Amino acid sequence: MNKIPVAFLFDGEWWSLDMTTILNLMSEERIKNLSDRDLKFALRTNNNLEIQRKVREIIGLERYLKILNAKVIHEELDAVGNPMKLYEINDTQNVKTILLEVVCPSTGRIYHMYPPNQEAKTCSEAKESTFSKKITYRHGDVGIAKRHGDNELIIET
Amino acid sequence: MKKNERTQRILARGEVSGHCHVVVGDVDIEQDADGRIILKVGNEGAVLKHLLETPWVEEEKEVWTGEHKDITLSPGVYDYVPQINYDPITDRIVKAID
Repeated sequence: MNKIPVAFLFDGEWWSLDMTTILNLMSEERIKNLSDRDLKFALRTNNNLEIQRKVREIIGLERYLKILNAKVIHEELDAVGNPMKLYEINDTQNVKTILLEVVCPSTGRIYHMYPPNQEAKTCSEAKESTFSKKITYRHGDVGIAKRHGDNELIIET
Repeated sequence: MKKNERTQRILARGEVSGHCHVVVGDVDIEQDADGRIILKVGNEGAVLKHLLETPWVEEEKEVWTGEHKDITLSPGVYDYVPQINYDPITDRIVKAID
């Protein structure tokens, strides 16, 4: 979680909480009415995937991607046939960041995450980098790797 | 099983949804010198479940969240590998949080 040590002005109020807590406290209506500038700041400073998903569902995928100035650079299907997309985001400082869109095989919900491999050119490369080593099982954000033998992903749920 | 043992079996938890990823069954969970979590699954096997944390920790009740089906782990040694993200603000790699 991003801890912000000083108070900052956000949506007309001074806050000294981290962005995840602020977004969790805000009503859907207030999130929906945030300015694009505040929303962009919120989306770039919150790193809780569930809160990010909640905000995206409130504001809609189209506005979410527009605010982040996201452009699709690669698309493919994952192992169970769900679509994945890799976006490039250019922020106001013209810093490029890669964002990965995946569908949770268990819930069908869409998640967006910044993959550790920011040089990735494909969705698979980006997705693979979200675990520090090859895993045999994936249970949401929990990966399990066999200590001995092959680690080919056999179950993802 | 004692409460602290039930807590120890939690590999990861959701910050806002009250869920947790728990290993139940014949398993010892240890930490190596580098802080990595190792699962030593015995002959009876173990299961990775996605449960509500409070009923599990307080009453040993297995209340499934309805998300992430059980994964059966056969006897052997496994490493827990947390999902990681890039944090564009701090320019660091951090553990994924949900």
